[in-house]
Amino acid sequence: MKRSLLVPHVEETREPDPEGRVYRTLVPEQISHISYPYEWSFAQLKDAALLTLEVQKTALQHGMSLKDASGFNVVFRGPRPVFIDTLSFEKNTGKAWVAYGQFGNHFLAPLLLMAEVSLELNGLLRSHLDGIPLELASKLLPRQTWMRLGPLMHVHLHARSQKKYAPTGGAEARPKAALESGPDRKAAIVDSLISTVEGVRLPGAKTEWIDYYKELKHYSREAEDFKQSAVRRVVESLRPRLVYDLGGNVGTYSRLVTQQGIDCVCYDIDPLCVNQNYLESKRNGDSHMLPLLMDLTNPTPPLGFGLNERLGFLDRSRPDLTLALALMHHIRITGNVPLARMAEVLARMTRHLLIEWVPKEDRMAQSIMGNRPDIFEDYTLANFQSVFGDYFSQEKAEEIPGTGRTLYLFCNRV
Amino acid sequence: MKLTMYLAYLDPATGSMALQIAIGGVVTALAAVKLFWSKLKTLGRKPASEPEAAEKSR
Repeated sequence: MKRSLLVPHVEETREPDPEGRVYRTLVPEQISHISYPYEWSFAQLKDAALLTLEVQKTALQHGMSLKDASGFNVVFRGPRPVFIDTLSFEKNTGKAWVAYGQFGNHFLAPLLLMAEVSLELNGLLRSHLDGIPLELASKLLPRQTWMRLGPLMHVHLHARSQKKYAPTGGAEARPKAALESGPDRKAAIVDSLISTVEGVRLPGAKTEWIDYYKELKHYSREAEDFKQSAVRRVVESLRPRLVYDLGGNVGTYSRLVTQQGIDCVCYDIDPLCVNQNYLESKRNGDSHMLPLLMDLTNPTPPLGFGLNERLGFLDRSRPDLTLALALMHHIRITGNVPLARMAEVLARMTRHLLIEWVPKEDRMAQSIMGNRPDIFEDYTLANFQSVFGDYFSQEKAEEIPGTGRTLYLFCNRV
Repeated sequence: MKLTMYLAYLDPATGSMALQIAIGGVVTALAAVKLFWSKLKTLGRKPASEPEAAEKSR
């Protein structure tokens, strides 16, 4: 805990358990905003993997070992991963790591698939809650991964071995004695996994939104400054405890929030943007920024048995303020979500809403529309004010000079 | 087309354990080599830094 790998705990004195089964009660520090591996960018997943291995390495040095290595054992506090599964530690017995397979499923397979095939394959973690099966990963990974010792051993050969010893028509299970004898290989396995994970790197690919701010031509310097100052003022006056920045790209506006010492979750659909935001926040030591991957037109649903093992996007914290800047035209036109639905869902989500009204005639909105026929009849200022007025009261409206766009500050009526 | 069932009948434990035993020797050897190289690097730095320091002071 001194090295901040584990979430801090406080020991609680409770009534002694009458049956004497309770040894000690430890209460972990509650994390304010939970997030899951399928919402993490590549770098976040990689850091979570390395953290898990570091925890295991340290555990081994103390005669202990991790019982499991699932991605859900790690949570992000701002840009720092922290290990939360305190109950996973057990006495170190046996010569092989029981969680080795699970580490492959939850960490190594998705990382390799993201780096070698496509960044969006982390989506497989949503459909495979217990991690991506190694046989599937092995099939999807390109042939050159067979040439690298780490992926070869820990994914390809590992997948083959699992298939071989599968109870249905596989080879006879090896006698238990072989597993009990011989030297303890756990430390060397962990070292090998650390090098393998460190060696997984993203190629220098480009995505759709990564150069958005570099190529920003539709805002003048004056407009951009005005918008930033307006956001800063709203945050200063509201003093929210938690802010969501929807479609926050690399976190330019989120940073205006975190600079004031306020927690901000910055959501974006573009994996490289989230990745860049994370790396920059890590570099700056910005402890209030949590970048996450999210498609607002198809956000994380509740998952697992009974649909309540993993929380959906709307079931987590309730932000005091949500920023929806340069966003609504994407949701309306590309996402085809009517304004009334947008207002309804945003009202479920947040107390205050700072939303940038982007008229249909706006240059960006028009370019998104492309060759689409204009079916967006509800996309008018009058209707926008009307449907949002059903859920929110308007506190402020400021035109952004020279853009035709307006910043609206809404307060939830509920 | 045959679809493999990844869920119900796979026993990952045995296969994973078996692989660790199989590669155990390799990874242990690699770990030892790495340790050896890092020790060699730190040893190698000391004698090299003396002639370097001598160069700089000239």
